[in-house]
Amino acid sequence: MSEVVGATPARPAAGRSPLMSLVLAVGRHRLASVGLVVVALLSLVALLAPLLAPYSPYEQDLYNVLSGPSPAHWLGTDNVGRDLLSRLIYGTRISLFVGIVGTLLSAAVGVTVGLIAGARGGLVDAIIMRITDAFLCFPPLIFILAMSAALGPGIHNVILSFALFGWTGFARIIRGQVLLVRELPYVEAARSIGMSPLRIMWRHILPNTLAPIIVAVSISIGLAILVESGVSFLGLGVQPPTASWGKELRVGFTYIETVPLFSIVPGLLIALAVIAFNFIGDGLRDALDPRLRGAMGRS
Amino acid sequence: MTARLQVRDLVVEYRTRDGVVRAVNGISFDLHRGEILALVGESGCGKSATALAMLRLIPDPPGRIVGGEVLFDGLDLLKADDAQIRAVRGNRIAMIFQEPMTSLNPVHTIGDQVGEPLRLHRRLTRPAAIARSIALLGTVNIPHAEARIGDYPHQFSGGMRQRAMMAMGMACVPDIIVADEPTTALDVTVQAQLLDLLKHQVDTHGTSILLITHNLGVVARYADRVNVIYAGRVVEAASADALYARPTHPYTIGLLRSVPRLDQPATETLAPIEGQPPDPLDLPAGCPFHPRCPLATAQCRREPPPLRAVGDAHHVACWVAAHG
Repeated sequence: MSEVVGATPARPAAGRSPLMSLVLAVGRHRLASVGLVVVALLSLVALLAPLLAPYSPYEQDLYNVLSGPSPAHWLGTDNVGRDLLSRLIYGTRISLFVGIVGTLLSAAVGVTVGLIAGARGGLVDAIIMRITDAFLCFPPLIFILAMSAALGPGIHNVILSFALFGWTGFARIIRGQVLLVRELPYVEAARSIGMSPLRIMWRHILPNTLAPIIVAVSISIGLAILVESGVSFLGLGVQPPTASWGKELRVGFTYIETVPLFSIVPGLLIALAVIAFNFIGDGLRDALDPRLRGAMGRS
Repeated sequence: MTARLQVRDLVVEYRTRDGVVRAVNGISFDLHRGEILALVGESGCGKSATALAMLRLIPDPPGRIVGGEVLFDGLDLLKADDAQIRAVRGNRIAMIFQEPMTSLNPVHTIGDQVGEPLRLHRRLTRPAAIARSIALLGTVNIPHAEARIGDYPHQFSGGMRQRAMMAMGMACVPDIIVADEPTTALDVTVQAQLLDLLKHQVDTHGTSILLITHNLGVVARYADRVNVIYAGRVVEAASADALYARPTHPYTIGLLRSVPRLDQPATETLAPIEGQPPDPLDLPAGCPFHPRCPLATAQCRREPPPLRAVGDAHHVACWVAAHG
């Protein structure tokens, strides 16, 4: 018997974790890797804004307003003579900040509430789900605009109103996943070894509900960027003199007939960022699907 | 010697859309130290529900334990509080389930999962639990255990996963292992290896095993005693030897006739049991087996037969067979 065992080739100890395989799979997805590159570049721009921006975003030059592209100001200047390129570089910080913080906040709330609803069931579940149903009745932008107006203008209130709306989607996804996962044999096995419900939730249920959340997060970041731009465009988001893509778009819109670049470039940036995050989301979804089928399909 | 585990008049019901199903209908048995007791019956006869109910693992809803006692170590497990029953689960009484492919969590390594009971009940640190898991995987014959400890379940074959589940069940050296169809999904050679492992656990640690199966071959080879279950009741309880030598209940006789035997003349045909298992929503009055029973009398259709002794530690619930 021993020589039979010995003949078994020792498998390479490359125990790839599910997370690692996911990262590799996304890297192989063509659109997702484009999205990753774009997001990486935008993050770099946001981080290095003071080094990259040729001018201060607040420095006015009233003798040189709405100049159009020139060697000194590659994208031209705005209506009070500030360098547009510098303002858009600093605006990247606002957009990514709102996108990421707004999404993380809504995901944190949504995942917690969804776990509670799925785990407790019964009346708690019914109440939470009816609340999320109620939110579904509002068009998102209208709700967020109303919230921003009620809370007052400002970037933090944009984030807050986005999270107030966004958690419902995450809660619904997680709750559905919990209902699915908690019936699986390994959860029963965990109960049978005397694990407490809280620990089962944390160790066995939560990690297996996260796949669709990862997808939702990347798409939600894009959505949050879009919402920030929209709210800032309408004047309720960032306040002057802070620069944001939506704000620049709004100001540029006024001068669209004389200096079209002023509104086109911020618009393109918004579209680019949103598309990049959606590509990543698509790639994640494609990468996660077959793994889930492999893990849960055979029974 | 008092039994290590006493199950008394266990009743489990499931509430379904069409009504209440009584899956376990007054099952009683004892499990002694170092013995293998088999619960045998067809799918849906209540054998798995019995095992789950013992550790209060019946999902509620839809299931509910309606009555009975499960006495273990001076404690009625059905009345124990949550902390008490969790201290028993996986520690004093371990379970091995029938789905090796899905009983391990895909996102944690084998080592983390096999060592989990030790961390829960022995308060071992993670490195200590993993070191212990390597030894446990070795005892269940997983080759290169120390190299495979960081593998994820999808890197293990079905037989290896079931062995990992067994290692997990044995981790705390429990008094009782409940093995619910532990080898159903596996091929025959792997089945034998795994059951030998369980048998070894009995011989070395005096573990008691409740073996739930529909495989009469497995029962003949491994079990000391057998309870045959039909429609949520024990219909015949005997030592394995007595059951095979003198099967008494018509259902047991039918079961044994429907399995091929090597010592049977090849010309003899197998005799299936006629009819279908009863609809659990609409159990027949009297003996639940009477519609399929060749010996049924008027009394069988009226009154359910009690379990009566027909020999030394041999009990049968049958009006006809009990008369001799």
